[in-house]
Amino acid sequence: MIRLAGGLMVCAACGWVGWRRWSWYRERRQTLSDAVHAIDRMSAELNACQTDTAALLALLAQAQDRCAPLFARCLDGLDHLNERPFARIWDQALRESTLPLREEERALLRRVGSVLGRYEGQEQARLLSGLRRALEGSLEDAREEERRLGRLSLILGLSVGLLLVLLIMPG
Amino acid sequence: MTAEMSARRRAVCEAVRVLPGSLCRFLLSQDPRRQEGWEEIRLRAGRGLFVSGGDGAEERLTRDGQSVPISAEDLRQTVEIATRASLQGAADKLSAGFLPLPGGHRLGLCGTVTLREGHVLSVRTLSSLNLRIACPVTGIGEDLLPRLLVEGRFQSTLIVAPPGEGKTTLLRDLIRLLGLRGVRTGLADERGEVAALRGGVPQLDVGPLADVLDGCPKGEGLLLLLRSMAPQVLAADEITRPEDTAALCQGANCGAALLATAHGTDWDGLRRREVYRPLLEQRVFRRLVTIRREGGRRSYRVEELL
Repeated sequence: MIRLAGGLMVCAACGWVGWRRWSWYRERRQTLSDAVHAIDRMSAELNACQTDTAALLALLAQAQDRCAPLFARCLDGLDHLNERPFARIWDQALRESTLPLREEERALLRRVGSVLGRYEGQEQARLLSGLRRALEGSLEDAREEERRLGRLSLILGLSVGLLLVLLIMPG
Repeated sequence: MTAEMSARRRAVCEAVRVLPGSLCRFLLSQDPRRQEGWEEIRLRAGRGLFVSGGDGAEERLTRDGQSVPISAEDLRQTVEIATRASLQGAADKLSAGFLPLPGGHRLGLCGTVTLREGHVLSVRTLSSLNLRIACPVTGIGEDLLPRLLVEGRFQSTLIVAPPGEGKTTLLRDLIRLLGLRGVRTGLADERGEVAALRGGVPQLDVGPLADVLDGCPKGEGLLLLLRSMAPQVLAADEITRPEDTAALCQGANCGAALLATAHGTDWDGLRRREVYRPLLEQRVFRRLVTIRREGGRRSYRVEELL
């Protein structure tokens, strides 16, 4: 009985690891989708109304998505512009937000902090469009990886768990 | 320490908050008595930090005997602080070469400009900044205003003085005082020096009943105010162009009293200048106020114009 329980726990633990990996792929895809959507909104606001940075960040901080905490942290950071430039405030907010992204995707988002508020509105929108295209490419990759590797991770996790149980529990 | 001196020091403390933290702290650590004399603080990339007072003479500030290092990044960060990381919202002011700050202070920008169709779009690469510290003085028009009224009605008044003698300060105070008496003023503040609007809110006290049109050429602005805000008094600072005088004449014909300033020393001087002729021929102004500096104090002379 105890062995059976132990076996089930090993199986469940490995399955959980697999499931966590699958969740990461899914959250990464959703985060990138939210980031692309946020950049679209920024570009639209800058093109149409030259919306100031604080208002942009406040708008995006209210969205019910994974990137909202990043924008909320940046908005708070505006009160400390005399101590740190905005690019560093953005960097720090990005680090603290622990978004499920690869390093190259973080590097793309980091560049948003070097664009926002530094140029005339339409120029910012143009530069953000370039970043958006690069993020869109990452989003396509993320969708493909989620499809290919996400479920595989779950199955692999459960399989490893089962294998371990068979190895550990003698006949 | 007089009330005006402590107001100057308060203004300095408020204005330097636009600077990066290390520069702000350095300036605030200077002798308070020296701070009382500061009217402008200049940052020059690669050359240092300078302060100047009413006499215009500049003094380079030093730290441990060395010039305070000022980099291009310091200038960029100052503009970022002044715009709250929103250069896009300050585009129209950048093209005019300055940024309005809270409290009525002003940050002048200098460097390599970007042109569009022959007009300055913005200052692209900064080489120096000039932080002009506003220290508004209120109450200077209190003794003067009764002499500009006839049976309680404000008479169209022209304030004349050489540059830097306090025309704008007097104009602002008269608008404020008129507002306190229930008189509605439409102010065409082309350069943003009278009310210093920031986010729609005047940073300098123009009273409760002033409607301010900021950044618009005076001629067009005065006509817009006439059409939209029904002013009892139309006000403008530094009448210099034919469009300005034409708009003032139109305002007078519509029944609004006028309050304006012009560079000069006296009525005869104005009469010799082409741009003011329509105002003189149509006898638009009823009062002329000239400002003179005598022994370090300003005096105001009122002349009735017939």
